[in-house]
Amino acid sequence: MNHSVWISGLGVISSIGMNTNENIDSLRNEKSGVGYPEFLHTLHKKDFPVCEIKKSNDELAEIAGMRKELPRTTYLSSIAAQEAIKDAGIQLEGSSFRIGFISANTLGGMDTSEFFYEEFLKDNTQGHLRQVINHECGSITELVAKHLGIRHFVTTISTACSSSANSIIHGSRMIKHDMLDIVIAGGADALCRFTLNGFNTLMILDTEPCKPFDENRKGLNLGEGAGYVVLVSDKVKTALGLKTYAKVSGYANANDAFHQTASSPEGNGNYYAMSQALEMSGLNTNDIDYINAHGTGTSNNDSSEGIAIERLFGNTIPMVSSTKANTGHTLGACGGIEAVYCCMAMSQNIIYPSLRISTPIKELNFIPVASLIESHDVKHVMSNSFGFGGNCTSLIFSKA
Amino acid sequence: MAVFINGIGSISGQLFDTRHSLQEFESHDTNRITCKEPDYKDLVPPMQLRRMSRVVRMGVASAKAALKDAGIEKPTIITMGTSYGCLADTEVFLSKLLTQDETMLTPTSFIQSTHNTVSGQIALMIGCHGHNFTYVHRGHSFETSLQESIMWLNEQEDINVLIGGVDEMTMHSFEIMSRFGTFKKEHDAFDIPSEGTIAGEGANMFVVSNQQNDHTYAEVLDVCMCMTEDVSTQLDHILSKNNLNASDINVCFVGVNGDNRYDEEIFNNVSSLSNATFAGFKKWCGEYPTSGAFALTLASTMLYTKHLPEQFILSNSKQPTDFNYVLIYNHYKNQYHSFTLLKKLSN
Repeated sequence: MNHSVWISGLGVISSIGMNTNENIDSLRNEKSGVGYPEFLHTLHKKDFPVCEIKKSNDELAEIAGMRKELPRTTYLSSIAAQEAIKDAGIQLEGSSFRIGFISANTLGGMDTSEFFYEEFLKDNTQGHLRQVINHECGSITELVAKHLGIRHFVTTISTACSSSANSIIHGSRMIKHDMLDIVIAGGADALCRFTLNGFNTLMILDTEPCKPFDENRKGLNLGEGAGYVVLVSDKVKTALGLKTYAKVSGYANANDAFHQTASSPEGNGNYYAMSQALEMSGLNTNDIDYINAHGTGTSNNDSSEGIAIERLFGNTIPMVSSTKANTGHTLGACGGIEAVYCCMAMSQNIIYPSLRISTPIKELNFIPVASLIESHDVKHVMSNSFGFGGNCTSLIFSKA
Repeated sequence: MAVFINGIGSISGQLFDTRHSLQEFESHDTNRITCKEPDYKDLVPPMQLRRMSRVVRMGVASAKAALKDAGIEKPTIITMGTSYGCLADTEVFLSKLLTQDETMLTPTSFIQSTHNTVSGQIALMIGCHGHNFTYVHRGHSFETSLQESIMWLNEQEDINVLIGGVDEMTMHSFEIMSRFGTFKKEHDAFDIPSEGTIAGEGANMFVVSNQQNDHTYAEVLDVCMCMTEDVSTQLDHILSKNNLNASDINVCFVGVNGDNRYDEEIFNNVSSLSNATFAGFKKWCGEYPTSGAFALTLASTMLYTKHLPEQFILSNSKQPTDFNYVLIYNHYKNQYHSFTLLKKLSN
């Protein structure tokens, strides 16, 4: 059970880049993907800015090398997972290792189901069945796993906004238990009407570009994307002579048990997740160099998360930033995307700035990083993801 | 580390007590089985109950029933499986969104549509701050939660893990799946050899632990999952890993679902279990992605009471002479296959 888990490959697609390098360049250059949607089919096109990937479904299908008319999340998942595998330099076909694909998403094929339903509601004999056949979250994973040629172990996790961070936990745990040797872990979610309208009913969508950790934050911008890491065991790392970005040194999932959609004011679940992850890593609070916060830009999240960070770290609060001002909140993808960002922060010795903070949150005693920090030896990073259902996850990565 | 089932809460097409011998179940002569919901008042406070949609109600109540059955207030960890999540809430929000042109929407159904609503609501109701996962991998959703619970029990001693499988069938999902040819004709019963299965749903929750006690139903030795091409290797694997021969299995619950396109093949996949009594379960719960959880309820009840009524035994099979080892072989759409291996308590 004491096997180490290493990260050997990274893959990401988001509104700020089609791959890891493009994403990191955008983060370095404070580029944001926020703007009005071109491809999302909604009547709210001019009401809410979103962080959309500026490619049509057909263009994404071609990049992914998959057939057309599948849910958009399938393509995002496939593109980022393929990049991660290629980056790791692992040949899956014919490999004697036990390989798993643990992916997350929260909406499955909802984007195509929306079109099906429009016709079905008028007449239940109508609507193209191909638009609803991949409705289940698990269908997306199944399609991508088949495309990647992975069948030893495949599963899907859906715990709202912490989903893909939880994929990384489960992948790491399966390697520690010697049940798998290699796991491609992360998640994906595409924009759709369902989530845009859903978050709108909660009145937590900002009508302007979001500003996480600003006193006057007004809510989040929804985003889309996918992020995956390739997790490998010691045995695989040595046998294949793989490069490693980081070691998964700690993780924990805890439940806030406070409210279905809101965080407790004192951030209990956030605190439990962070403190238990830290305990597992065996590190001290002052060992953490950077926290990539969940930092959605909602009044509730940023305040609860900030308070929980202060409770845990006291007077030695690490550098903190949220990259959701760049990417928007990508829901089931954010834990995977931000895990990639954390690995790259360590590999390039940089800390990303938190955009658009003009007045830091008054009730908090720390100010997030406002401009890019370079040449900083980033050894240990914490990545937070918190979701509906009180689902709180914290991951700790350590420089390899 | 041994894994014991210490509590069960089951809501299905049948009302029965898992602490008593299985009785003859009522047969259905339609292509759809809906859950018989129990009286919830002893399980969930009425105020909370009113705010819950049907699937959340079934999930939360069966979880509470499992905890009560195990004699504990709160588990350490919660891990669930659901393929469809909260379908009715999803449909309500989606329908309104489309018919009201994305205006005048209210948050309730959106909030409850998240796939982890059941596991989150259980945590909220009992104040459980532990690890809380939800797997949504079609016909493997429940088995993955069972597999995860075994991992936890290998990591930590003296903990209780609440696991379960929950899925609902709605009018819309029934209509849509009917168009795919999933179900039999309306008045074809389960036993009529025809194309299609019968629709089902259910919520089955379990408390599993390292500790055997007076409440313990059975021991879980192993669970494994695979896709169609790996079924025979996985069966060999789970037996050999647990030092068993095919002839050691006394009872095998098989996920035959009345669909004459698959049933023979499914049955053939386990025909090497030479001494096994084959028993069915989908006739009483219908077909749904987490039906494996209902099979685990039946198998556990059988192991606890050492009794299997004739009604469950598939044709050409004899009454079991013993209940030492029980295997559940389930499949969903002949794509998602799983094996769950149970053992009688050694006392």
